[in-house]
Amino acid sequence: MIMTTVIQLENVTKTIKGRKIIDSLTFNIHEGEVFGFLGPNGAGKTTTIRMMVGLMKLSEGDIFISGHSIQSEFEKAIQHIGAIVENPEMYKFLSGYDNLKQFARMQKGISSNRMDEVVKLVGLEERIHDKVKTYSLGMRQRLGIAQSLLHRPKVLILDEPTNGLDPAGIKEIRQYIRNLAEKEGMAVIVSSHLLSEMEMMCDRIGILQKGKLIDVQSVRGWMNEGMDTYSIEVDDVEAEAALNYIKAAFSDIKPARTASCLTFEAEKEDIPAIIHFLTGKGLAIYEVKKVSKSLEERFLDITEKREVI
Amino acid sequence: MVSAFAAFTKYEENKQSEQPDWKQVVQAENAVYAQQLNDQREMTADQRAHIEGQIEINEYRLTENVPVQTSEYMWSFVENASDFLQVAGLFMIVVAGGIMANEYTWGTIKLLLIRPISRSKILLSKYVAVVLFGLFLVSMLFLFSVIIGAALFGLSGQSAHLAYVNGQVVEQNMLFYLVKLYAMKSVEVLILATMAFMISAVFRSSSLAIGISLFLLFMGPNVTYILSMRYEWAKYLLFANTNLLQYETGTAVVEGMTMSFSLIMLLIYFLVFQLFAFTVFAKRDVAG
Repeated sequence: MIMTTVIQLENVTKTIKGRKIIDSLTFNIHEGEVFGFLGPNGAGKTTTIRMMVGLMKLSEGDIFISGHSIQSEFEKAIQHIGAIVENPEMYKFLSGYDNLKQFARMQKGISSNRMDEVVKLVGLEERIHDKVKTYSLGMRQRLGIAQSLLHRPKVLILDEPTNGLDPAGIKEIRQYIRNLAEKEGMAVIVSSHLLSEMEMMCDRIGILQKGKLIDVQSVRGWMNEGMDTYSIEVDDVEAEAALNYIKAAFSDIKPARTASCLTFEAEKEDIPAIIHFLTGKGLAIYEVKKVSKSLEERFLDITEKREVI
Repeated sequence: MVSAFAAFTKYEENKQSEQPDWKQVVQAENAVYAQQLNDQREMTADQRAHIEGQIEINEYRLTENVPVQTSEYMWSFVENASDFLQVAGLFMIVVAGGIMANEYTWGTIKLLLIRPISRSKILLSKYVAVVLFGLFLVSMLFLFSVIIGAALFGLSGQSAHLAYVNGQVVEQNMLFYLVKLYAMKSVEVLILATMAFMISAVFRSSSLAIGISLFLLFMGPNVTYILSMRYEWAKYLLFANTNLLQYETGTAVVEGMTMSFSLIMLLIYFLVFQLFAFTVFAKRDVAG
């Protein structure tokens, strides 16, 4: 499959008061993919997004949207983008529909049919004529998405789209996002500091730390990468002996002991041999389990490792 | 508000006793003027010219038998109601001061700026909205006072305004004169609203914009007046130039100022405000 690049960041740098907030970001985002910006608070996710939508100027580098530079051809570039930056802020004293109408007026070719279509898509038909100040956060978020979809953009940018939503709301947003990417071929960029959330909706995740892009990984690959950790519970008194047996017999396994448990990293294929070996030595095995590393731990692993470098 | 003012004027009018003969009044006035010209040597050339003009107008009244309008009627009410332009200005400043700053406060500025419209176009349309609102207020005031004036005080009265132009007394159409009066008085409001708009766009604070502009609207002319008594450079201050009527009444703040000088100064202030607003707004990073 040939992937069409819709957003291209080239050496994007932002310097504020002599400090590099964003440092030479270079990456591409393709059609039909959900790209996640992951990073701790203050890593520069929102700043990067603000530069993508032209709210902030770039200090160096350039961003191209469908081949148009956000700096020199702002109007052409931005018309392919729909976005919510931070909270979905609307005119509270207007109804949801009037808000949409206001934003529809600001770009060409949005019919009232399209508006109804978008309202239906986000499931706001019943409340769309109520004032926005009566909306719940979830409804505002949905209205925000409606607003960003009005002009059928090629790129949808959502900054922390699930912030402050309840689990049902989060699930709903996730489904919209997957749908938009898969059915309409839109490129969706989301940002979050929650890895678990990203893992469920993104195809690729870019990890930002201290303004630098330290890793871009496809979600599937990343999750299956590396060896698993196993833990074997043996009898308290025999634990030390078991530790030494394993060290002697399996040179590439480095077990650690905590009370009656031995934990070590190993390939799945090695486990039967280890169990067999230990029982052969007459040791009692109470439990063998796989300790799957949580995504958070992996994420911290990656970020900490890079920090040391 | 205009209605209340009209009712009050009507009430006052009813209390008034019979007016003395207008010819006597005019003659007495001219006598006072003549005396002023003789006694006060410190008078500026502008003031002198103004008083001479008034004398000419009064002479014209006597010779052509054009009576002085003493009772209130439609046009004179419209003329008096022009003081309400200050109130219109207050509303206009409130709107101008809020129109950009509120977008920041509400956070909706982010949604505005990610439309395929350049920032200067957005700012321009906001400014146009402010000007249209001001025009609406002023024309409403004018229309409303015409209607109320006609209803309460009737249409009968002098149909021409006497003016002293280039050494000659001319009769001007009342409507033309009043539109000119309203336009001149609106200039001050417009320039202050522009300033409020600039502050609003640059500093993103509506209270700052409204506060400063209203303070200047009420205090500016007084402060300028005080400064102008001592310093010649006061004529370059904004408020020395906002009152264009000073050239009609011969009371220029600093001697030697002319209408075109004021218009140029106003234009410069206007352009500086706009330039400032546009450059800062177009370059700003929008965060938070």
